[in-house]
Amino acid sequence: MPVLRAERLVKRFGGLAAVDGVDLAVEEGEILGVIGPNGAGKTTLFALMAGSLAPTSGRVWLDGRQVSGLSAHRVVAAGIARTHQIVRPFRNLTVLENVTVAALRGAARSGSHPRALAEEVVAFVGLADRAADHPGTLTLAGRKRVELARALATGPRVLLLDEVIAGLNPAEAQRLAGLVREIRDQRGVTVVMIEHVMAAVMALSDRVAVLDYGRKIAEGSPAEVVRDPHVVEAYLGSGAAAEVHP
Amino acid sequence: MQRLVDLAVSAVLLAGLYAAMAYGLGLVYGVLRVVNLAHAGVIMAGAYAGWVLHRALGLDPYLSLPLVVAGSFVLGVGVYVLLVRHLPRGAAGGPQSLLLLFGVWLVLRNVAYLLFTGDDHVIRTGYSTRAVPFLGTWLPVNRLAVFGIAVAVPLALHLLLRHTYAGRAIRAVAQNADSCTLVGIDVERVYALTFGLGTALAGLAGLLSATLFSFNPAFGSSELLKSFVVVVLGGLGSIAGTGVAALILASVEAYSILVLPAYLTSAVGFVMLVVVLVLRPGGLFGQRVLG
Amino acid sequence: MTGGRRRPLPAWFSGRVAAGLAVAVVVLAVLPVALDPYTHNLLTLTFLAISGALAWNWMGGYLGQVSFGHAAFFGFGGFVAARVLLHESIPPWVAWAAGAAAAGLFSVGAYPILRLRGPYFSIATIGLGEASRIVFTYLEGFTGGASGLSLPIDPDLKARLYWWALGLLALVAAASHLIRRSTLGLELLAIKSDVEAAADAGVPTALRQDVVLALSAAVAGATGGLSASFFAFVEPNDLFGFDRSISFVLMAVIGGVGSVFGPVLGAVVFVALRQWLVASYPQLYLGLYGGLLILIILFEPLGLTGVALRVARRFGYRARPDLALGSSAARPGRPASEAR
Repeated sequence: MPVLRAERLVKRFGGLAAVDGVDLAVEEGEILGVIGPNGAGKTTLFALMAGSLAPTSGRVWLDGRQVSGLSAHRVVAAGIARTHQIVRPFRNLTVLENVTVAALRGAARSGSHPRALAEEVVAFVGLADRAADHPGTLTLAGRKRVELARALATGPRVLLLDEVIAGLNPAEAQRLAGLVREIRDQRGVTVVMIEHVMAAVMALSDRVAVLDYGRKIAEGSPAEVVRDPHVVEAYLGSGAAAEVHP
Repeated sequence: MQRLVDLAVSAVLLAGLYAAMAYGLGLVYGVLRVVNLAHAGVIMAGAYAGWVLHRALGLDPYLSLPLVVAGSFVLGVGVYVLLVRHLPRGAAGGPQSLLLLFGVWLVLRNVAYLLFTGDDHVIRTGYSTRAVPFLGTWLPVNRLAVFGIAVAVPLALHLLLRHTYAGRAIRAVAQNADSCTLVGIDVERVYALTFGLGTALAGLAGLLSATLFSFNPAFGSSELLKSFVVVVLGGLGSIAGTGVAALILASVEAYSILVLPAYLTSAVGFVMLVVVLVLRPGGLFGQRVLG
Repeated sequence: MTGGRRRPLPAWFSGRVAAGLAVAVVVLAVLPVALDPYTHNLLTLTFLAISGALAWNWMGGYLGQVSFGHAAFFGFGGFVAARVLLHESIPPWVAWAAGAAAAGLFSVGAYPILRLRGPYFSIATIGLGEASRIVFTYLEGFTGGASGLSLPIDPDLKARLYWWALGLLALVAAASHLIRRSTLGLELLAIKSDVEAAADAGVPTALRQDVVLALSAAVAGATGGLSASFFAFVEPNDLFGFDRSISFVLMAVIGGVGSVFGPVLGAVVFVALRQWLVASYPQLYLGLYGGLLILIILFEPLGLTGVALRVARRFGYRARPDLALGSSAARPGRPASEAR
């Protein structure tokens, strides 16, 4: 049974359907990449699954429990945590305090102490020496780590990562990709990641889902997806598929 | 029946004034993302300016209009350049600018109190009591004039914003100040200009109000809150929305006298303010950032 | 507090702060033997003002929700207490407790405005305060209308109010410190910084804000009840007045928003300044506060606390960490686009 399942999710803004009937099934312990052109509805899909937005129709299930319609903090309590594409640290708190806020949920779940859990997670993402600093003093890569640590500290079963790698230099991108893999391998957290950096998606993902105009147009292993004519067409425009795959 | 017509007529006439007050407030918020609590103080100051010119120079309030508007504009530019400019704008500067402009309001109130004491005043002219017949009711000439000016000035300003370079610059800055800097628009000047225009409208509204209502140094606070109602209901930068919203507010206020005790009608605007804000939680001016 | 109990010696339970608070309370409690009645009464009013400013700061400082409508809670608590105080058989503390509870409940009814943030919240609270003033002035059966209600005059009770007010202050100051140091305080600061991100980190943002507003309103209501006893007179245009709401804002902002020390300092300065101004320059009352507000916002966002910190630094004294922490919460953030 999939750990996270979205069933015919629809979100309309006015007349426009940003997400238009998406089905998604995420297996326990996998890394699922979500790709698609700009405006394909990826971030909206995340917002629906994380409870930031209520779907127009459709449902989301976590471990067979319906979480759609719950408010964001209840979805977090249920076990889904998200990061934001544009990082949103609490600027008035230190790195450790940022993570401690989230660790209050995670600690309640695991029976550990919030501060201890926060310290562990901060060390895990590699920010132990910056724990007492304010996020504003960190580089973008550092702030993305804070964002990641905060989501992780809630003790999620499923982590929704919105472009944690995009915008970083190659060395940093490499390190963060490694971190994402460790989150799955060492902490057993299932990961769904939106990513624009194709190399990272292809290297990290067990499976990839492709969104275009709010619909899922393809799904499969990275190798299958890149050969899919619909995907090529979505990225390169109609007609291109025919040229690439005569 | 005649009562309903009377109330409708007075609502329409009042709505013009509300629209003028609200347009200035909305303009400043739309461009600078600053909630100008000093708007109330300038409305009050405009009223006193008209009163002083009338008393000291015998100047008719409608003749002193350009003077008061120009003076308010200068005051607004001054407040921007001296004070508001030094604060962060947008969400980060929200509470700061709110409190700062609140301080300006308190100072303005105190200055008025020192100069004119706390007594109530009103501007009385030879035509204050004249009226013309209309739909079986009497339209006070002065109210008609106030309505005409209060509608014409924001309308004219709106057209200027659409069709002049400065107007287009203001609208561009409202949409994205960062890009404007890139294409060489002097954003600081646009901000100063906008703040001046918004404040000038407050002064105008104050002067016009002074010919209708009595005022004292605390005058302007309920006018400020009514402006908020109109801006929230009507949306930003929409002249039609502002007009309709002003009409809704004025009508609700006017007709509430039929169902509420007279004393409570003054609370209608405040209750509407809370209700309107709560029912449009996406943001004061109906815009919502989508994820 | 959440999560604090499991620790052997919780980090927020700083011995120095607790000892300092205890010493201050004891000194103030025995002080009246050496006081003339005027100072005695002035201190009573100061304690009430500080309590109110601290409670306002839970909203304005910790949560970043600047309320221009706390007079609604002050007034409602004051009138409920006054109504109970009219029954002389009931002990006065019951009346004050009833006022506090009523104000807390009133704020629960006002919960929809908490779904608003920043300036929208502030504006809605102006509406709430002014609507309350008009409606309660109208409800003559409850408030006595514009002429108000006179309470039985009891000089003994007025003298004893000193210790009641001090007790309330001790409670509110301790609560301010505990909230600030606890994980609840962290959650509030997170909400202040970014309410959506806080929800994504699992903070029940709506509930937290409701609880803090209810507590803040209850304290405002209690101070309303105590001052009803103090003046033996309540009048809606005074208790619910906009100037009353403003005083909460001014005390906290002048002292320095966010820290525990700030509102204490601000309230003391506010009351002292008011006494002096009313006696010497009544016509400069509002303008001076307005000017002070402008100066503080422009030059020292941390208020008088910030000034005190600067002076302390000049003399080579390092700020206590909790003051510094409080200050970090209040410092204006850079616009998001710039810091990204």
